[in-house]
Amino acid sequence: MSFQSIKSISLHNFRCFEKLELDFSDRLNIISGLNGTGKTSIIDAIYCLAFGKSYFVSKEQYLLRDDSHFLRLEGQFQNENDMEFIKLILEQGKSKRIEVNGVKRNKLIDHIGHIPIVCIAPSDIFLVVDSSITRRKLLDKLLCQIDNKYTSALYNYNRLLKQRNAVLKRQVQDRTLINTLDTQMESPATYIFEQRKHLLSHWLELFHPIHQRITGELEVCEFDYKSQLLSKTFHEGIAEAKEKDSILKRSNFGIHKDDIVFTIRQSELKNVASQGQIKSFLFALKMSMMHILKEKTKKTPILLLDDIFDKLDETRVLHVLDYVYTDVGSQIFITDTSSIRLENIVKKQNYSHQIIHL
Amino acid sequence: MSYSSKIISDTVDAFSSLPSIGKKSAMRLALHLAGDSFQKKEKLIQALQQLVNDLQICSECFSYSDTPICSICSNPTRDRGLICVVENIRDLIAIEDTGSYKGLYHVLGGVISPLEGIGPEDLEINTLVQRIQENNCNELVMALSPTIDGETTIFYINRLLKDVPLKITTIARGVSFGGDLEYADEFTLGRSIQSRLPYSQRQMS
Ligand SMILES: [Zn+2]
Repeated sequence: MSFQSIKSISLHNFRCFEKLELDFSDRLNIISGLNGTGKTSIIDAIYCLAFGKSYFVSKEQYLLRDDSHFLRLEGQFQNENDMEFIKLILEQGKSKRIEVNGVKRNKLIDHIGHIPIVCIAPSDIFLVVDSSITRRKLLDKLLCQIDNKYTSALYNYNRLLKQRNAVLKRQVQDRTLINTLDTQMESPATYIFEQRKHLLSHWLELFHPIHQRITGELEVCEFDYKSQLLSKTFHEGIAEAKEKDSILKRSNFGIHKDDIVFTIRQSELKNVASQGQIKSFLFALKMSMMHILKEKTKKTPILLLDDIFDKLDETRVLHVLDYVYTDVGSQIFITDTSSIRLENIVKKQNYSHQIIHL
Repeated sequence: MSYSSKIISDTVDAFSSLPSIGKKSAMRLALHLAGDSFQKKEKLIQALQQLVNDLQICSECFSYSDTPICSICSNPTRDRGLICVVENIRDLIAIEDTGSYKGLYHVLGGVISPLEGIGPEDLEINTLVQRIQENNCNELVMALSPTIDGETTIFYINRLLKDVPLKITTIARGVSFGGDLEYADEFTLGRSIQSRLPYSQRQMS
């Protein structure tokens, strides 16, 4: 097991910051400031460097400050005795560039998983209320961080799926080409299915004790994996769907239709009334995600907590922090509008920390 | 930039329309040519004129040619039972430069990618199938880029030829083959074309 941390960061034209340089504590960093001061931007900058993508902004051009033409992020990461300088450059009209110690990454997917990281934010509520794609992305994000083979299987599957849909949209649908793509898709689809299924059952095992610790109660929760591949092989399913696909001009069978149904005491999480209950569930979900990352990457993942007091009381916050600080041993970043509540907890617990006022 | 001569300015514009030639390089070339001897300029014009008027596409392999059938396809010492399938002429030249390949070629003109509007009918795939059926070809060497689209193209051709008794091989991967054959050094490329691998997916489809 090795300790992973970020020592310092520099932001240039990133979101609301023209220029900002910060040094971080190895353990707990409290970023405090009023709304609109850019707290979230700082943790997003860390996320971008580690993951290669923003956690909060889907359209990359919105990461650029006002009307600047480029942005640059630089971070100094440390893993045991190894120092790594990661640089991310985004220029308008050009593809994003990531460098590790001055060496350019050829593909973004080569960067994913390099620095294990987990982010928890109020927007995680979309995992509960949004459509299935948000939940598939959560699964993919974790699997891509721990399994390179999964990353390339997913990349290949998505490319083949897009090609297949493009063939289906043509006036004349080339059957031989569709069959060719189906054969190619079989192996990545099956691999992705197996890995998702396996991960979810393991994840649930780790989830329960953490959930109990945060809520103080033992509640039966389930991650119910929904996949068309549970009842038939890819080969069978894609053959059966062929006619329907041809009429609807898109692919109706495959792992791109997967979903997870989260339940708590047998009722679907999205129907649970209490916001606090949903919040605790999501925290336990992310905490167990950290556990898996640590176990598989042999590194302590960095944790980013945005607006932790949103719908979570002080006792629960304490349980969460205690788990991450003590059990996982991660470097932590927390944002809050005021540092007082956090300072109280941190002092009581004697956590090594640093406060950054914006 | 302004010039005292429109002829120079036109020449600069013509040069800068070429790939990887900026305005400055274009001007350097134009001024250099302007100062050259008449014979040198004539030679260049002649070469360009031939490129415009006389260059053809070989009706067998779809590479550039001076005659209806190119010099590789009409060379009696080449192994006619062996066809190497490449994406473009640059890749053909890269393999030819190794000097280790004695068969024929077939230039597809790209790889299948319906997303970019390139279907099998936009490539020289039917002509390849026809060529194999009409001639005694016993081995097809696939030298396409190791991308997922390259693989689709190999699978597709393989499917079309599934009833034809024929060995399909791919050139050994792992060579510095990051998309561009052009950049693989001659030694590794030469070795990989000699030690090509049987195409294992053939049975799968
Ligand atoms: Zn020819």
